[in-house]
Amino acid sequence: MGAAFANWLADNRDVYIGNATAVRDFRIQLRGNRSVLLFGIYLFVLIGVAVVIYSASTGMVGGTIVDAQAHLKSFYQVTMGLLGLTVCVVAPGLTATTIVMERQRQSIDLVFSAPVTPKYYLVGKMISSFRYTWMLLVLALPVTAASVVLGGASWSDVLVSYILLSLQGLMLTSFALLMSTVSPKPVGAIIWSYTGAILYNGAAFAGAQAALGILRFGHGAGSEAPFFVVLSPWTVSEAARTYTVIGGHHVANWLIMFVVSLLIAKICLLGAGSILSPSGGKEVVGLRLHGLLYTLVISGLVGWALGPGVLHVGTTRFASIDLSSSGLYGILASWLSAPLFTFLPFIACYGFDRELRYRPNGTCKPLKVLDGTPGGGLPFLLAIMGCLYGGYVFGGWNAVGNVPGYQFWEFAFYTTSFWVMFWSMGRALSAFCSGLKTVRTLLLSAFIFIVVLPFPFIVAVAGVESETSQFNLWDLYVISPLIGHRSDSGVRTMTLGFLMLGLSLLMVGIGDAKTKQKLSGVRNYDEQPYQAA
Amino acid sequence: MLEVRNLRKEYGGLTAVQGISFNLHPGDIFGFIGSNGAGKTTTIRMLATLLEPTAGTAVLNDSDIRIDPMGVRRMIGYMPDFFGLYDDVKVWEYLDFFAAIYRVPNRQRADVIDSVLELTNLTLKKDAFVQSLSRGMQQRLCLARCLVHDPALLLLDEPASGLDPRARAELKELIAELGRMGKIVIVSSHILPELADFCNTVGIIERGELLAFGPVSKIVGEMQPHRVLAIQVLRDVEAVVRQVANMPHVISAAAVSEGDVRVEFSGDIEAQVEFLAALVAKGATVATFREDSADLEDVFLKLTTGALN
Repeated sequence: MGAAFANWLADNRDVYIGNATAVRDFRIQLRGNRSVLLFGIYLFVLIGVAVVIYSASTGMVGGTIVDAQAHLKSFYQVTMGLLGLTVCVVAPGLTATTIVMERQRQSIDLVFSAPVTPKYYLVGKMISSFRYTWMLLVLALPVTAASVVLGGASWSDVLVSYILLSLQGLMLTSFALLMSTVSPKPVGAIIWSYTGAILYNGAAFAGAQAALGILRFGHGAGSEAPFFVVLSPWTVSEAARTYTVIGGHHVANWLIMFVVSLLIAKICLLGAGSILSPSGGKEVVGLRLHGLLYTLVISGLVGWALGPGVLHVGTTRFASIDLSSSGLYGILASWLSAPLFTFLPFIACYGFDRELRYRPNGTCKPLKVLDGTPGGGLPFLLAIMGCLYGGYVFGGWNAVGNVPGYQFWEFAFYTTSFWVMFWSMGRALSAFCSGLKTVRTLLLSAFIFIVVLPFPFIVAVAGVESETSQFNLWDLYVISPLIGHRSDSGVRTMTLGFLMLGLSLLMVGIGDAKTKQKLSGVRNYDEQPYQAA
Repeated sequence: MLEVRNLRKEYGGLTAVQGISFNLHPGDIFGFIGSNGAGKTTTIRMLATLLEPTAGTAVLNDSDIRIDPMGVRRMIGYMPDFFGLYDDVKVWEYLDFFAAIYRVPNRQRADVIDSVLELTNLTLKKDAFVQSLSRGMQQRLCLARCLVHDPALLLLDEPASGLDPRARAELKELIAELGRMGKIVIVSSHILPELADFCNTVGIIERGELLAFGPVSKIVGEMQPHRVLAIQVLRDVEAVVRQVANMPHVISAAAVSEGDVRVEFSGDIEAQVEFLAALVAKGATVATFREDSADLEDVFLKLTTGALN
């Protein structure tokens, strides 16, 4: 036990302290005049912008002290906004090409022919990218310190804002690292990293603005605010002092952000590690376990938050979902599973052109649920759905003390059938195509064609669905139960669920027959005696 | 010791390596011969644990590439057919990085780097940037990288490609020296005469199948069981052919061109001396007389068809 702990400690020391990848990248980053020049230009621009803003803010004559304080505060906010922009631009840009370039240069083979684990390598890459972003933040400290000296903010404000920006940088870095591992080309890695950063910023900013808006207009109590206000890099100066009440205790939102950002960074690294690891790698098991755990926790929190009187900002408590009319409650739970469409191609598809772990190894093997092989795809999908609905019901039960009615379970059945149908589609496509990449792209395209594209078409042709319509185009739309709630929703939901389940069985049957035929073909080819010269 | 047991690799319907098996011992320098796409690189990458075998395995000093890849990696040095060098890195930094990831203790790293630089004759380039080195030097640096952790097995994939004759000769000498140091060296190459010079074992692979394996002399001997004598005479070629055909140990004799006679001879070297003496005694105007021995290239061309996977 003691020896195992000592080994674990030594391994982690090697990974996090003196990581060879980080040391090498650090030497390259700081080599010659280039880095000094870059830092100089960066500081020059930052100070220049800050001086312009400061002059504009304080240029008016004859204002009151209150006005002057307001101006100084806005100067501080703009400075922190600039740093937020720096983090959003620099972190993905620095990280996006790190792994993909090594793969193109093929130096990654040299690294992985040495006794290097994906964790060691990825953490090293992350340290080197994140450290550079952090250096830029630290360099800007004199500029932000001016706000403290002039009276726009306190040291604690600056410190917490820096922590928040660092954590946001960490999340963006880890996401870009994942994209760099997934993408075959640097351009793709850069595009996907920035797309992710833009989507994250958009969503986080909208959420933060909504919550902060309530605080600004006086509906809140002090600086209590939902946790998500600290997610946006653009509002760190305003969100730095906010807290969330958990069990009667005031917990600083930056502390929650600390935990959340580490969890996000960890799952991104596990995702990247599972791609780099060989068959049966512990990163694959770790990723799947984390996926299940995160699903359980997130759905539990959402289920709990929808309980009566739970969701509030300050003293304002928002209307909650009445669990006795569980239709809407079920629809919300089903929508929580939407992100699965990005992961399903990795769970469902297999290929004959890749490593053993991507090759067909049976239709449904519960014991393979965590090892990332195609046989464990269905058990893992069902486990995800179980965690999603289980967590949701548990959270809701904690909030109101009862479990939802039958309508909720109808949606659970429908949504599970929906994803099982796409899983079986992935298997059928895998059976008829040889390339894993092609199959994954086809499944994603099929999803878009079946689920996303019909929506604007049906809206244009049939209009918005109404309670009075007996039968219209909406009934043919596969996710119609999730976008409209009619009195006959239960029948429609169950009918669609059974139809999709039937279709799944058919596709799995066809796919498995074709796969067997293909595998026997491969065996026959191999059994032919090779005629040497 | 390296035991390769029925190693096999499939990509979809294509079988890149068809269950090859062989054993190598410390000090063996194994030349892996095959056309492009024959399965050499795939085999080497499987041994380097970079590719997972579809079936079969290889065991290096009791560590199985499938069960204990990390253990195997500690004992191998892999030099691919590309450099994989980093820009803006000095020679010693490059080696320091690999020494660190091979867990060479910090205290020993400087000495290890100095010794591998000396072995590869790069000491003077210690502080140079890797991109400033010539191709031959970069190749030697890659070999130095493979040696920082004193591996038991060296996997060298086309190490001599693109090198000038001098650099090639230096590399050849270096590989021979590594063999003398007791390392198992696997070298893949197209340049067959070169391999025959310093490899004590060769394997010929085509379409993923190992067609021949063993010492060079044994393989050549198996391919050419009889001596072939090339005789050049000045006059009366047809008469000489008739005379030779009736002499002891002669299996066949034929005039191959103006004045040239090719004789398949089953006798040993003593019989060959007597045969020449008898031929001259019979009045044949022998201008040249030599044994036409087959080489690795002949064996390769005879065994393989040039078919690709």
